Amino acid sequence: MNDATDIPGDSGPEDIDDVLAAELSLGLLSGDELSSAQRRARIDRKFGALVEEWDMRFAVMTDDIAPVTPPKGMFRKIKNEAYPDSPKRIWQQLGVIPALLGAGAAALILILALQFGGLMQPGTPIATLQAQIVAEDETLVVAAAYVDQGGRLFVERQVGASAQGRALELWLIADGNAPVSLGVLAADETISEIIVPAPLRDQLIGGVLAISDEPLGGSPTGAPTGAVLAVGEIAEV
Amino acid sequence: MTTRDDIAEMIQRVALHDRDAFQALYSATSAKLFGIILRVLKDRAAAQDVLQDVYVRLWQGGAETFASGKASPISWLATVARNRAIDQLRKLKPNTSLEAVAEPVDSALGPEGLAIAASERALINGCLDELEAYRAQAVRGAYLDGETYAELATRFDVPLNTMRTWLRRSLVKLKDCMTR
Repeated sequence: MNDATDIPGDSGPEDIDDVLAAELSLGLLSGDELSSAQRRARIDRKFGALVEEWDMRFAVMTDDIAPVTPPKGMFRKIKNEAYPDSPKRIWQQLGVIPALLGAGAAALILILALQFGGLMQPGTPIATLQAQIVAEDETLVVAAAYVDQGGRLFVERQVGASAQGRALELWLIADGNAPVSLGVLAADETISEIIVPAPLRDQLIGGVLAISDEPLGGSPTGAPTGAVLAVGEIAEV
Repeated sequence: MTTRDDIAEMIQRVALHDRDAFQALYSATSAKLFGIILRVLKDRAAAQDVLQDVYVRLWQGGAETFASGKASPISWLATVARNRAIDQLRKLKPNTSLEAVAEPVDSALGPEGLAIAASERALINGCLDELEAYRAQAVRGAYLDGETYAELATRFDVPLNTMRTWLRRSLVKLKDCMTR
Protein backbone atom coordinates (compact mmCIF):
# COMPACT_ATOMS: atom_id res chain seq x y z
CA MET A 1 0.00 0.00 0.00
CA ASN A 2 1.90 2.97 -1.24
CA ASP A 3 -0.87 5.48 -0.98
CA ALA A 4 0.39 7.26 2.10
CA THR A 5 1.61 9.95 -0.27
CA ASP A 6 -1.43 10.38 -2.44
CA ILE A 7 -3.40 12.74 -0.27
CA PRO A 8 -5.58 14.65 -2.70
CA GLY A 9 -3.01 17.42 -2.67
CA ASP A 10 -4.22 19.22 -5.77
CA SER A 11 -7.69 19.76 -4.39
CA GLY A 12 -9.00 23.25 -3.86
CA PRO A 13 -10.51 24.56 -0.65
CA GLU A 14 -13.96 23.40 -1.71
CA ASP A 15 -12.80 19.83 -2.02
CA ILE A 16 -11.12 20.06 1.34
CA ASP A 17 -14.39 21.27 2.83
CA ASP A 18 -16.24 18.49 1.11
CA VAL A 19 -13.91 15.85 2.52
CA LEU A 20 -14.21 17.39 5.97
CA ALA A 21 -18.02 17.33 5.62
CA ALA A 22 -17.82 13.66 4.68
CA GLU A 23 -15.58 12.92 7.64
CA LEU A 24 -18.00 14.64 9.98
CA SER A 25 -21.02 12.90 8.48
CA LEU A 26 -19.33 9.52 8.68
CA GLY A 27 -18.30 10.11 12.27
CA LEU A 28 -14.56 9.75 11.76
CA LEU A 29 -13.56 12.82 13.68
CA SER A 30 -12.89 12.98 17.36
CA GLY A 31 -11.75 15.50 19.95
CA ASP A 32 -11.10 19.07 18.81
CA GLU A 33 -11.50 18.25 15.14
CA LEU A 34 -14.97 16.96 15.88
CA SER A 35 -16.14 19.89 17.95
CA SER A 36 -14.81 22.48 15.52
CA ALA A 37 -16.42 20.72 12.53
CA GLN A 38 -19.72 20.43 14.43
CA ARG A 39 -19.63 24.10 15.27
CA ARG A 40 -18.93 24.97 11.69
CA ALA A 41 -21.81 22.83 10.42
CA ARG A 42 -24.13 24.86 12.63
CA ILE A 43 -22.96 28.32 11.63
CA ASP A 44 -21.68 27.87 8.05
CA ARG A 45 -24.73 27.11 5.97
CA LYS A 46 -22.75 26.06 2.91
CA PHE A 47 -20.70 23.62 4.92
CA GLY A 48 -23.83 22.39 6.68
CA ALA A 49 -25.38 21.66 3.28
CA LEU A 50 -22.31 19.63 2.29
CA VAL A 51 -22.68 17.58 5.47
CA GLU A 52 -26.34 16.96 4.68
CA GLU A 53 -25.50 15.83 1.17
CA TRP A 54 -23.08 13.31 2.62
CA ASP A 55 -25.66 12.21 5.18
CA MET A 56 -27.96 11.34 2.32
CA ARG A 57 -25.24 9.49 0.42
CA PHE A 58 -24.19 7.43 3.43
CA ALA A 59 -27.78 6.67 4.37
CA VAL A 60 -27.78 4.30 1.39
CA MET A 61 -25.80 1.98 3.64
CA THR A 62 -28.93 1.47 5.72
CA ASP A 63 -31.04 0.42 2.74
CA ASP A 64 -30.49 -3.27 3.19
CA ILE A 65 -30.70 -3.40 6.96
CA ALA A 66 -33.72 -5.55 7.74
CA PRO A 67 -36.55 -3.86 9.65
CA VAL A 68 -37.12 -5.14 13.17
CA THR A 69 -40.52 -4.55 14.73
CA PRO A 70 -40.09 -2.69 18.02
CA PRO A 71 -41.78 -4.12 21.11
CA LYS A 72 -45.45 -3.48 21.66
CA GLY A 73 -46.14 -0.55 23.90
CA MET A 74 -43.22 1.45 22.57
CA PHE A 75 -45.41 4.04 20.90
CA ARG A 76 -47.37 4.45 24.09
CA LYS A 77 -44.13 5.25 25.90
CA ILE A 78 -43.22 7.72 23.19
CA LYS A 79 -46.57 9.48 23.48
CA ASN A 80 -46.21 9.60 27.24
CA GLU A 81 -42.90 11.32 26.82
CA ALA A 82 -43.87 13.59 23.95
CA TYR A 83 -47.41 14.83 24.43
CA PRO A 84 -47.82 17.75 26.79
CA ASP A 85 -51.02 16.37 28.28
CA SER A 86 -49.67 12.88 28.86
CA PRO A 87 -49.57 11.77 32.48
CA LYS A 88 -45.80 11.92 32.58
CA ARG A 89 -45.70 15.45 31.25
CA ILE A 90 -48.41 16.61 33.64
CA TRP A 91 -46.22 15.54 36.51
CA GLN A 92 -43.16 17.01 34.84
CA GLN A 93 -44.92 20.34 34.62
CA LEU A 94 -45.63 20.06 38.28
CA GLY A 95 -41.97 19.50 38.94
CA VAL A 96 -42.88 16.20 40.48
CA ILE A 97 -41.02 13.80 38.25
CA PRO A 98 -37.51 14.32 39.65
CA ALA A 99 -38.67 13.29 43.09
CA LEU A 100 -40.42 10.27 41.68
CA LEU A 101 -37.60 8.43 40.01
CA GLY A 102 -37.65 4.74 40.67
CA ALA A 103 -40.45 2.39 41.47
CA GLY A 104 -42.75 5.16 42.67
CA ALA A 105 -42.58 6.90 39.32
CA ALA A 106 -43.36 3.74 37.44
CA ALA A 107 -46.36 3.04 39.62
CA LEU A 108 -47.65 6.57 39.37
CA ILE A 109 -47.29 6.69 35.64
CA LEU A 110 -48.97 3.34 35.31
CA ILE A 111 -51.90 4.46 37.41
CA LEU A 112 -52.23 7.75 35.57
CA ALA A 113 -51.86 6.00 32.23
CA LEU A 114 -54.79 3.79 33.19
CA GLN A 115 -56.75 6.85 34.13
CA PHE A 116 -56.00 8.68 30.93
CA GLY A 117 -55.34 5.75 28.66
CA GLY A 118 -58.60 6.00 26.80
CA LEU A 119 -58.47 9.73 26.61
CA MET A 120 -55.15 10.31 24.90
CA GLN A 121 -56.79 12.33 22.19
CA PRO A 122 -56.89 15.98 21.41
CA GLY A 123 -58.83 17.54 24.26
CA THR A 124 -57.44 15.19 26.89
CA PRO A 125 -57.74 16.90 30.25
CA ILE A 126 -54.62 18.33 31.74
CA ALA A 127 -53.81 19.11 35.32
CA THR A 128 -54.82 22.68 36.02
CA LEU A 129 -53.99 22.87 39.70
CA GLN A 130 -51.24 21.51 41.85
CA ALA A 131 -49.99 21.60 45.38
CA GLN A 132 -46.96 20.53 47.33
CA ILE A 133 -48.04 19.62 50.83
CA VAL A 134 -44.91 19.63 52.92
CA ALA A 135 -44.26 19.29 56.66
CA GLU A 136 -42.08 21.96 58.18
CA ASP A 137 -39.33 19.45 58.88
CA GLU A 138 -39.98 17.76 55.52
CA THR A 139 -40.71 14.38 57.11
CA LEU A 140 -43.92 14.32 55.10
CA VAL A 141 -44.00 15.43 51.46
CA VAL A 142 -47.08 14.95 49.34
CA ALA A 143 -47.67 16.16 45.79
CA ALA A 144 -51.10 16.70 44.37
CA ALA A 145 -52.36 17.38 40.86
CA TYR A 146 -55.93 18.23 40.00
CA VAL A 147 -57.58 17.42 36.70
CA ASP A 148 -60.75 19.38 35.92
CA GLN A 149 -62.40 16.59 34.04
CA GLY A 150 -64.14 14.44 36.62
CA GLY A 151 -62.79 16.59 39.43
CA ARG A 152 -59.97 14.18 40.04
CA LEU A 153 -57.17 14.91 42.46
CA PHE A 154 -54.12 12.69 42.19
CA VAL A 155 -52.12 12.59 45.37
CA GLU A 156 -48.64 11.16 45.63
CA ARG A 157 -47.10 10.53 49.05
CA GLN A 158 -43.42 11.05 48.32
CA VAL A 159 -41.86 11.18 51.74
CA GLY A 160 -43.25 9.87 55.02
CA ALA A 161 -46.23 7.78 56.03
CA SER A 162 -48.87 7.60 58.70
CA ALA A 163 -47.85 6.53 62.17
CA GLN A 164 -48.48 2.93 63.21
CA GLY A 165 -52.23 2.37 63.57
CA ARG A 166 -53.05 5.90 62.38
CA ALA A 167 -54.16 7.45 59.09
CA LEU A 168 -53.30 10.53 57.06
CA GLU A 169 -56.36 12.58 56.14
CA LEU A 170 -56.45 15.25 53.45
CA TRP A 171 -58.38 18.47 54.03
CA LEU A 172 -59.36 21.39 51.90
CA ILE A 173 -59.33 24.75 53.61
CA ALA A 174 -60.97 27.29 51.35
CA ASP A 175 -61.19 30.99 51.96
CA GLY A 176 -60.77 30.74 55.70
CA ASN A 177 -63.62 28.25 56.00
CA ALA A 178 -63.46 25.26 58.27
CA PRO A 179 -61.46 22.34 56.84
CA VAL A 180 -63.50 19.94 54.71
CA SER A 181 -62.29 16.37 54.46
CA LEU A 182 -61.29 15.14 51.01
CA GLY A 183 -60.54 11.66 52.26
CA VAL A 184 -57.94 9.44 53.83
CA LEU A 185 -54.73 8.76 51.92
CA ALA A 186 -54.10 5.16 51.03
CA ALA A 187 -51.68 3.64 53.53
CA ASP A 188 -50.49 0.72 51.45
CA GLU A 189 -49.98 2.73 48.27
CA THR A 190 -48.17 5.99 47.66
CA ILE A 191 -50.74 7.26 45.21
CA SER A 192 -54.35 8.03 45.92
CA GLU A 193 -56.99 9.28 43.53
CA ILE A 194 -59.62 11.40 45.16
CA ILE A 195 -62.79 12.62 43.49
CA VAL A 196 -63.39 16.12 44.75
CA PRO A 197 -67.12 16.62 45.42
CA ALA A 198 -68.63 18.97 42.85
CA PRO A 199 -69.54 21.78 45.28
CA LEU A 200 -65.93 21.98 46.45
CA ARG A 201 -64.30 22.14 43.05
CA ASP A 202 -64.65 25.89 42.64
CA GLN A 203 -63.12 26.44 46.04
CA LEU A 204 -59.83 24.78 45.17
CA ILE A 205 -58.25 27.81 43.53
CA GLY A 206 -56.63 29.89 46.22
CA GLY A 207 -57.33 27.22 48.81
CA VAL A 208 -55.00 25.22 50.96
CA LEU A 209 -54.56 21.47 51.29
CA ALA A 210 -53.61 20.12 54.68
CA ILE A 211 -52.86 16.68 56.05
CA SER A 212 -53.63 15.70 59.61
CA ASP A 213 -52.89 12.69 61.78
CA GLU A 214 -56.15 10.81 62.43
CA PRO A 215 -57.41 7.48 63.70
CA LEU A 216 -57.66 4.66 61.16
CA GLY A 217 -60.53 5.39 58.81
CA GLY A 218 -60.26 9.11 59.35
CA SER A 219 -61.57 11.69 61.76
CA PRO A 220 -64.74 10.50 63.50
CA THR A 221 -66.01 14.05 63.91
CA GLY A 222 -65.73 15.50 60.41
CA ALA A 223 -63.11 17.96 61.61
CA PRO A 224 -59.40 17.37 62.13
CA THR A 225 -58.81 15.79 65.52
CA GLY A 226 -55.06 15.17 65.40
CA ALA A 227 -52.05 17.30 64.60
CA VAL A 228 -51.89 19.09 61.27
CA LEU A 229 -48.72 17.61 59.84
CA ALA A 230 -48.31 19.38 56.52
CA VAL A 231 -49.84 22.25 54.58
CA GLY A 232 -49.60 23.40 50.96
CA GLU A 233 -51.21 26.10 48.90
CA ILE A 234 -53.08 25.14 45.78
CA ALA A 235 -51.62 26.87 42.78
CA GLU A 236 -52.55 27.03 39.13
CA VAL A 237 -50.24 25.02 36.90
CA MET B 1 -48.32 0.97 0.41
CA THR B 2 -46.72 4.00 1.95
CA THR B 3 -44.83 6.08 -0.55
CA ARG B 4 -41.92 8.40 -0.10
CA ASP B 5 -44.24 11.37 -0.53
CA ASP B 6 -46.55 9.99 2.15
CA ILE B 7 -43.64 9.82 4.59
CA ALA B 8 -42.54 13.34 3.70
CA GLU B 9 -46.05 14.60 4.33
CA MET B 10 -46.25 12.76 7.64
CA ILE B 11 -43.02 14.37 8.80
CA GLN B 12 -44.33 17.80 7.86
CA ARG B 13 -47.56 17.18 9.69
CA VAL B 14 -45.67 15.92 12.73
CA ALA B 15 -43.85 19.25 12.70
CA LEU B 16 -47.32 20.80 13.13
CA HIS B 17 -48.05 18.41 16.02
CA ASP B 18 -50.60 16.33 14.17
CA ARG B 19 -51.06 13.28 16.37
CA ASP B 20 -52.60 11.08 13.70
CA ALA B 21 -49.61 11.79 11.50
CA PHE B 22 -47.26 10.94 14.36
CA GLN B 23 -48.94 7.59 14.83
CA ALA B 24 -48.87 6.94 11.09
CA LEU B 25 -45.21 7.93 10.83
CA TYR B 26 -44.36 5.61 13.69
CA SER B 27 -46.25 2.73 12.11
CA ALA B 28 -44.63 3.27 8.76
CA THR B 29 -41.05 3.82 9.85
CA SER B 30 -40.35 2.46 13.34
CA ALA B 31 -39.37 -1.05 12.25
CA LYS B 32 -36.89 0.34 9.76
CA LEU B 33 -35.37 2.72 12.29
CA PHE B 34 -35.31 0.07 15.01
CA GLY B 35 -33.45 -2.23 12.62
CA ILE B 36 -30.84 0.46 11.99
CA ILE B 37 -30.43 1.35 15.66
CA LEU B 38 -30.20 -2.32 16.65
CA ARG B 39 -27.59 -2.88 13.96
CA VAL B 40 -25.44 -0.08 15.40
CA LEU B 41 -25.93 -0.80 19.10
CA LYS B 42 -26.38 -4.59 19.02
CA ASP B 43 -28.26 -4.30 22.30
CA ARG B 44 -32.01 -4.47 22.43
CA ALA B 45 -32.59 -2.46 25.59
CA ALA B 46 -30.27 0.33 24.51
CA ALA B 47 -31.81 0.31 21.03
CA GLN B 48 -35.29 0.73 22.49
CA ASP B 49 -34.19 3.76 24.46
CA VAL B 50 -32.68 5.35 21.38
CA LEU B 51 -35.74 4.59 19.25
CA GLN B 52 -37.95 6.24 21.85
CA ASP B 53 -35.64 9.23 21.97
CA VAL B 54 -35.63 9.56 18.17
CA TYR B 55 -39.41 9.79 17.95
CA VAL B 56 -39.81 12.03 20.98
CA ARG B 57 -37.30 14.45 19.48
CA LEU B 58 -39.05 14.34 16.13
CA TRP B 59 -42.23 15.37 17.88
CA GLN B 60 -40.52 18.01 19.99
CA GLY B 61 -39.21 20.03 17.06
CA GLY B 62 -36.94 17.64 15.19
CA ALA B 63 -39.46 17.20 12.40
CA GLU B 64 -39.32 20.92 11.70
CA THR B 65 -35.74 20.60 10.53
CA PHE B 66 -36.74 18.28 7.71
CA ALA B 67 -36.40 20.17 4.44
CA SER B 68 -38.90 18.67 2.08
CA GLY B 69 -37.97 18.12 -1.52
CA LYS B 70 -34.30 18.18 -0.72
CA ALA B 71 -33.82 14.89 0.99
CA SER B 72 -35.42 11.51 0.78
CA PRO B 73 -37.53 11.34 3.92
CA ILE B 74 -36.49 7.77 4.64
CA SER B 75 -32.80 8.62 4.26
CA TRP B 76 -33.32 11.62 6.47
CA LEU B 77 -34.98 9.54 9.18
CA ALA B 78 -32.35 6.83 8.79
CA THR B 79 -29.64 9.45 9.32
CA VAL B 80 -31.33 10.78 12.44
CA ALA B 81 -31.64 7.26 13.84
CA ARG B 82 -28.10 6.26 12.91
CA ASN B 83 -26.61 9.42 14.38
CA ARG B 84 -28.48 9.01 17.67
CA ALA B 85 -27.41 5.38 17.83
CA ILE B 86 -23.77 6.27 17.19
CA ASP B 87 -23.93 8.98 19.87
CA GLN B 88 -25.25 6.42 22.31
CA LEU B 89 -22.63 3.87 21.24
CA ARG B 90 -19.90 6.41 21.96
CA LYS B 91 -21.38 7.15 25.35
CA LEU B 92 -21.43 3.47 26.21
CA LYS B 93 -18.03 2.77 24.75
CA PRO B 94 -15.75 3.82 27.62
CA ASN B 95 -17.27 0.98 29.62
CA THR B 96 -16.70 -1.53 26.90
CA SER B 97 -13.42 -2.68 25.48
CA LEU B 98 -12.89 -2.10 21.77
CA GLU B 99 -12.74 -5.86 21.25
CA ALA B 100 -16.15 -6.28 22.81
CA VAL B 101 -17.65 -3.60 20.61
CA ALA B 102 -16.12 -5.03 17.47
CA GLU B 103 -17.29 -8.54 18.22
CA PRO B 104 -19.75 -9.89 15.71
CA VAL B 105 -23.37 -10.31 16.62
CA ASP B 106 -23.70 -13.79 18.03
CA SER B 107 -26.60 -16.16 18.17
CA ALA B 108 -27.77 -14.56 21.42
CA LEU B 109 -29.71 -12.20 19.20
CA GLY B 110 -31.55 -15.16 17.76
CA PRO B 111 -33.40 -14.87 14.48
CA GLU B 112 -33.20 -11.10 14.69
CA GLY B 113 -29.42 -11.18 14.81
CA LEU B 114 -29.34 -13.60 11.95
CA ALA B 115 -31.60 -11.34 9.95
CA ILE B 116 -29.27 -8.45 10.65
CA ALA B 117 -26.28 -10.50 9.59
CA ALA B 118 -28.07 -11.50 6.42
CA SER B 119 -28.96 -7.91 5.67
CA GLU B 120 -25.34 -6.94 6.18
CA ARG B 121 -24.31 -9.47 3.60
CA ALA B 122 -26.87 -7.91 1.35
CA LEU B 123 -25.54 -4.47 2.15
CA ILE B 124 -23.64 -4.09 -1.04
CA ASN B 125 -24.06 -0.76 -2.58
CA GLY B 126 -22.67 -0.25 -6.01
CA CYS B 127 -20.33 2.56 -5.26
CA LEU B 128 -18.82 0.99 -2.20
CA ASP B 129 -18.17 -2.04 -4.35
CA GLU B 130 -16.06 0.09 -6.62
CA LEU B 131 -13.74 0.76 -3.72
CA GLU B 132 -11.16 -1.76 -2.74
CA ALA B 133 -12.70 -4.17 -0.27
CA TYR B 134 -10.81 -3.03 2.80
CA ARG B 135 -11.63 0.61 2.15
CA ALA B 136 -15.30 -0.11 1.73
CA GLN B 137 -15.07 -2.07 4.96
CA ALA B 138 -13.53 0.92 6.69
CA VAL B 139 -16.29 3.22 5.43
CA ARG B 140 -18.95 0.79 6.65
CA GLY B 141 -17.12 0.37 9.93
CA ALA B 142 -17.19 4.08 10.47
CA TYR B 143 -20.83 4.43 9.48
CA LEU B 144 -22.40 1.48 11.23
CA ASP B 145 -19.96 0.69 14.03
CA GLY B 146 -19.01 4.24 14.90
CA GLU B 147 -15.32 3.62 14.38
CA THR B 148 -13.16 6.72 14.31
CA TYR B 149 -9.92 7.16 12.40
CA ALA B 150 -7.97 6.10 15.46
CA GLU B 151 -10.01 2.93 15.93
CA LEU B 152 -9.91 2.02 12.26
CA ALA B 153 -6.14 2.50 12.23
CA THR B 154 -5.87 0.06 15.11
CA ARG B 155 -8.22 -2.44 13.52
CA PHE B 156 -6.46 -2.38 10.15
CA ASP B 157 -3.07 -2.10 11.83
CA VAL B 158 -1.89 0.89 9.85
CA PRO B 159 -0.60 4.29 10.98
CA LEU B 160 -3.27 6.86 11.68
CA ASN B 161 -2.21 9.07 8.80
CA THR B 162 -2.36 6.18 6.38
CA MET B 163 -5.91 5.48 7.50
CA ARG B 164 -6.81 9.10 6.98
CA THR B 165 -5.35 9.07 3.51
CA TRP B 166 -7.15 5.85 2.56
CA LEU B 167 -10.43 7.10 3.71
CA ARG B 168 -10.17 10.58 2.30
CA ARG B 169 -9.34 9.14 -1.09
CA SER B 170 -12.18 6.69 -0.73
CA LEU B 171 -14.59 9.47 0.08
CA VAL B 172 -13.58 11.45 -2.98
CA LYS B 173 -14.03 8.35 -5.14
CA LEU B 174 -17.32 7.57 -3.51
CA LYS B 175 -18.66 10.99 -4.28
CA ASP B 176 -17.47 10.82 -7.87
CA CYS B 177 -19.23 7.51 -8.25
CA MET B 178 -22.44 8.62 -6.58
CA THR B 179 -22.79 11.89 -8.41
CA ARG B 180 -22.01 10.68 -11.87
